[in-house]
Amino acid sequence: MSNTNEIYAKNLMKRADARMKPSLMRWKPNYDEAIELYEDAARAYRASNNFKMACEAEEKSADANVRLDNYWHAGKALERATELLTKCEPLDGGAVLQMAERANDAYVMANRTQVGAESLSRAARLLETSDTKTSAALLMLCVENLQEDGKDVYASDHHKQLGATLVRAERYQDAAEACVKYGASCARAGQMNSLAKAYLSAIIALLYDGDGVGAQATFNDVHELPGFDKSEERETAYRLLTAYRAADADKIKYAIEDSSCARFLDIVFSRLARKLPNPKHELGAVATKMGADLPTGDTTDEDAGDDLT
Amino acid sequence: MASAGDLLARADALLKKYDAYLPKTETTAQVEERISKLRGTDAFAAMLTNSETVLEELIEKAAAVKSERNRATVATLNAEVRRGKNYLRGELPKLRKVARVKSAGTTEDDVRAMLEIVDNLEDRVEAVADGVTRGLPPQKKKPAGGFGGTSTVVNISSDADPGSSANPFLNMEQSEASEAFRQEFEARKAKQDKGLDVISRGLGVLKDIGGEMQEEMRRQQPITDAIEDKLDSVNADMRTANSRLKEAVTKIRSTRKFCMDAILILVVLGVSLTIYKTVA
Repeated sequence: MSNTNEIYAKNLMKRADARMKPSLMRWKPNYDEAIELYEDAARAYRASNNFKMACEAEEKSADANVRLDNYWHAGKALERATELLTKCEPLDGGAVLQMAERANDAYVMANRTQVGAESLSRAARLLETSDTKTSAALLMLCVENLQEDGKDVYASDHHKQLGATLVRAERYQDAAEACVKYGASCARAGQMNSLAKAYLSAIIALLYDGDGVGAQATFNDVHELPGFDKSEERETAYRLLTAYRAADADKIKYAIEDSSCARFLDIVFSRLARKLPNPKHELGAVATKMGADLPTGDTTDEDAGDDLT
Repeated sequence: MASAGDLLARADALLKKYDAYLPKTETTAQVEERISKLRGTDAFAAMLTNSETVLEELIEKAAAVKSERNRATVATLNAEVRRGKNYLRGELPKLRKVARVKSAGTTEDDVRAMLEIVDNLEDRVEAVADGVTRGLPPQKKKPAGGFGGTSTVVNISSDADPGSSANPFLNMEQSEASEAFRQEFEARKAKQDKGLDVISRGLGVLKDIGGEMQEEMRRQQPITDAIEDKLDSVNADMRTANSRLKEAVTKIRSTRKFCMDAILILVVLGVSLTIYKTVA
């Protein structure tokens, strides 16, 4: 049942559509008026809770802005359209992703790459409880754009948001990979404090997922990086991995409790650390895969049972 | 100089123009949907092509690791290679299952050939270097304390025999007073340890706050630099505008003074003429 707002909005849309084309009385399209009318129509549709049509109105407003080369305003309109799509029932993650990408592209055309990346992050925040897959995809795009633009120094919050989203979605391997990428971003930006925390978070996520081999390999890759090599996070990681190799649950718990830095990680990773060892995984099996029968520091396989006779 | 926006616009225009010649790229979901509709050797071939593509990407990344100097990038690439290998390890049982499924047109030889291909793929997957080792690196010894020199540690052990070199200070028997002293000593030591723990926690918090502050300042620095530049240019513009305004006001005032003078003179002349006419 359409209410007054919807009828008013429909009229506005009609008038705006007419302004987008030349007519007998008007030989050129009047994009400025069309933009105003589309925006009013979107507001009216939003008031009547018809988010789909409101989104369409914002899209058309963005299109008119593009014709006037107002990419900034087009980006703003597309961002509002993305927000409206997140409110539509049923939620279409693919459509939200597409619209958010269009908004980002518009901002990039206006030479405001960082604002584009932040718009992606805002869209991801709207979806973080309802659609974690799309939310994670948006954040990955956001951090990639910032990296390409050389603005790693501003990507910190987005990396943390991505890690938290992936952990909440129980995608621990992806979360660990995101943390390692965060570490690389911190290395480029010179943020040594966050770098150490990122790598420790990656190791904790992998251990929580039962991937001792991956955790060990990550530690081997990063233990000599400046910023991590002399940090307390490295000590904690080493103690944790040694405890896992010994398959000693008490040692693992002690390594976390005694650590001076585990509680300063992001809250999601701090919680994961307190839950280690994960009861779902058998410690002995994890330790064996990590090569626990070999002494620490020895990276070559020893022949078992050498017979010297 | 071309901006990112211009480059993007030009790239989009070119892509649109030559869209018909571009290879059609599919998303993972579209690939999986297409594969689920196929049967028998077609499904196997499609899955194999997908796995081969992923494996080629992994081999490229592993090759990039060898030439990369930045260790953080090496760690990222290794992590991606490990993720890719784990994904392919999960795909191999699915390939074997599809190979064994009996469908029209597949013979025993075909099944055997497909399984051989899967085994070959498995060997190639495991051969990709991913930086995994079977041990932890040796723990570094911390350098000696800041003031240099070694310190001697005195251990008073109550378990050693009284009068021995490890326990030279205890007599044969302990008196009540020395026992009480020992207990008080232990209690105070425990209290000190507790206090030191609290201090240590506080220092840890301060260290973390200090690190965060440093990073935040580093983030704000380019923004404040940009604000400073903009303020400088606005300042210069204001000065120019002010001086121009001053000149304009001076001009108007002097012109106005002249006008006022002329008008007043005329008024006076007019009044004196009227008086003269009246008197005369």
